[in-house]
Amino acid sequence: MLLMLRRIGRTVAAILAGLLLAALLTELFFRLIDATPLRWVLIEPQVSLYGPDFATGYRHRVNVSGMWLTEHRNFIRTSNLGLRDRDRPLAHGAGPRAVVIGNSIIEAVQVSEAQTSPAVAETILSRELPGAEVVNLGLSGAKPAVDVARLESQGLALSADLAIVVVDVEDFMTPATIDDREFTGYRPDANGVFRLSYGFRNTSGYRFRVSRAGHIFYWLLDHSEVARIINARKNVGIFAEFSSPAAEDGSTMCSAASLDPYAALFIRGEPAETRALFDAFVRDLAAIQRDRKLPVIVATRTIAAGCPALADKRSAVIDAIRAQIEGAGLQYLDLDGRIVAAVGAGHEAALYGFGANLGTGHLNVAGNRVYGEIFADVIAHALPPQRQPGQ
Amino acid sequence: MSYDTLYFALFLAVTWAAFEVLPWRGPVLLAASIVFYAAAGLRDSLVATAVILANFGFQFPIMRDRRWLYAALVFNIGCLAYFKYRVFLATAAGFDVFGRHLIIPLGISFYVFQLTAFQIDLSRGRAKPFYSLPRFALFKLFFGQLIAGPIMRWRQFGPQINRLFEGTLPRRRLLGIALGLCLVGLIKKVVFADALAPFVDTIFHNGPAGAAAGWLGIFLFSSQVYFDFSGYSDIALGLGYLFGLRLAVNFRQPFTALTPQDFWRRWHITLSFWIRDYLFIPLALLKGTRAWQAVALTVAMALAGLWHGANWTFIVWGVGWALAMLLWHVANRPLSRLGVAQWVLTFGIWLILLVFFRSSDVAAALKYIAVMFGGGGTGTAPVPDDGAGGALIALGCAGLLALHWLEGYLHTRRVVLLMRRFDGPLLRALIAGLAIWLLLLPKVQENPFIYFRF
Repeated sequence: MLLMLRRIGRTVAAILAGLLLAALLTELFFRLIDATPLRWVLIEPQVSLYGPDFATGYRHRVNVSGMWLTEHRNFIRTSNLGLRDRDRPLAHGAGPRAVVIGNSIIEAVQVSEAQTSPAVAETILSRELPGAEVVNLGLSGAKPAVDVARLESQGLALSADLAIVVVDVEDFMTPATIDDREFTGYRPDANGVFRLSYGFRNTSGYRFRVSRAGHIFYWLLDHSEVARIINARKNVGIFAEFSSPAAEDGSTMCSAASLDPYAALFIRGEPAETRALFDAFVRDLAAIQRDRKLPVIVATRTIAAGCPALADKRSAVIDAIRAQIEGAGLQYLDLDGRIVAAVGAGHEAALYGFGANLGTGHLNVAGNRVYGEIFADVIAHALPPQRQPGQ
Repeated sequence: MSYDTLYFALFLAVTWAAFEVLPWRGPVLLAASIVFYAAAGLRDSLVATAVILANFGFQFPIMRDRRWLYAALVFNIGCLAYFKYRVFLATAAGFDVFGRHLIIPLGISFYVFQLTAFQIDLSRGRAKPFYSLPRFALFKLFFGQLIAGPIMRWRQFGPQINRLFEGTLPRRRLLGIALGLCLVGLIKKVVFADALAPFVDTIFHNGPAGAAAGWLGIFLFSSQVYFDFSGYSDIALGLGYLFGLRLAVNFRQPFTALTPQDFWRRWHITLSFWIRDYLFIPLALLKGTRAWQAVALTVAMALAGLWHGANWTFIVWGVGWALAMLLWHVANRPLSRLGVAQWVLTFGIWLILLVFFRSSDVAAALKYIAVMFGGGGTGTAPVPDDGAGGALIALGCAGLLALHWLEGYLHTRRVVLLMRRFDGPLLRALIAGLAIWLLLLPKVQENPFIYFRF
């Protein structure tokens, strides 16, 4: 009996030693890849950029660097301020400072920092306005509520002279906009009025992430490849490969039905709850502009432009949106319309995607450049007169 | 169910545990294989079931009267023609009756060829019939080789299946080697093949911007398809050893081949031997002339190409290989004096012909080849320069070839004996642990095993 127990013990010890050695070898293997040009070719755990944030639920962590692999391989480094941006002081410099808030389209982790649309805008503006800054506050997955919360927290902390809030209009119709379990959302209060809600602060996940154990967890993410593997797998699900790929949306951009939801929402105010959500978004941005003296430009996306058959319908929708936004004292930018004007109808697809997936996905280098040129132009015209180029 | 997933690893662990614990090893393996294939869907399962049942039934009349073989061949090849080639054949004949959308039942090319070989061997007295349907079903359905081979002959696999069901299959201590093979296969697929895929896709989708990009693209694709398919084959071998079954080796460092003939003795060996034994030799024996043998070789290789896919590109690929082999046959003496240059020539032919394998149509392939040889193209994909210069890329390519030679060392008797010597809980846990870490890493892009499409 004793002999058998000893034998079992030795076997268990050998197995544990083997597993431990496997973890060590895996760690060494991926560190070797990461430390050499092989990181541009071979697989490795993708960098984990995000950490908890009191205002929005999540944000970039400070000075995190590593390889981004999804869609287009790129080396990423977050800034000293914890942004997808170059290093810069928090304090306002001599030149004007604008911030651009949005989702992964603005964040643009697929391209180098200098190629992102805010960086391109900054380069263009700097030629006329030395010291001009355009700060990238893009955050992957940011919904309208997160945009507002981010402007309130990080945007105001940067003492910006101007804010561009890029919002995907279709986000107002997704359930995620009113879900506050993982990030800021819009929830109706007791009177049914939508207000920013921070339910994520009460979740165990958030409490863990801001705890001491959470700090150790993030330290491990930054210093251990094996930890990154575990975290990445946790995020996608243990059997993620078992689920079928999502069916492709067969509708085309210029289909007659593509504008119907927007016409219903912005012209007829249907559904009422979604319209109330949009009203709350505009209200909160207007409040920031009014109370904090920060001019805000609302730039909308995902309202397909360049479809001749839908031109009239689109105009009506844009006019309704503009009336709402400008009626609240904000400025409005029809981003889709400006892009079509810049590149021509039917050529917008070339601004997205990489390699064999050109036409789908996130903005590529050309796309970021076009966005950056538009932002530079809008910012130049929207700055206070004494801050405009040539003044 | 793809081999490079966590849920397959779980499936394998459960199957192996049941195999080790329960006394009915044959039925356990058969049940697991049925579950494995059922994951492909109802339609594929029904097609496979029908083909297996029909072939089981064909055995007995074939033993009585060899002419029943023709009925079996018509059925098997007919199934393959219908499910895989009906659109291609109809379009080639000028008809558009089947539409364009075709979903090929998973692994049909492999199991039809394996069953066809069995029926032919049975008719020639080189195989014995299976009187038990479960044994016959496992002969074809064993999940280790079901979807993408190796294509097993009765003499290699049949007796093992029988001994498995009889409980007399020797249980060699091969667990460490089995896991090692699975790990090597996973590394080939996950670390190398999947890593090369985006570069290859970009160059072929956007077209090479110049000759350098063209050669780089096809070289990377040759490495991708090698690591992908040989990786799968290594995993298949490992899976076989896990259950005491010895499957056929499908690759023997084909990039070291000096001649086209040698290449096909090293690349997808079970398919090339199938083509030789069941197509080329019977065709060549119809007439004794050298000219007819050349025709037989060309037809056999064209069909070998067609087996890979319903597209003229694959036929051109196969015919190209036939012409290369004929060239070496005719000019063997002067070519053999070339030394290393002979290897360069063979490898170059492999790369050029591979363009047809990868391209969507013959025109695109010819355009690509033209760019490779300096003909200006309209492609926009340059040599990738993200973080690497030309020297680094060249070093990387040399590294890929060096891995090929290293692999030859890993598959030697010396390494096998070393593995057996140190086989034990520590080594097994180490290998299994490494495999699990590789499987835990989520994929950033879906890259199914290339030969699963066939």
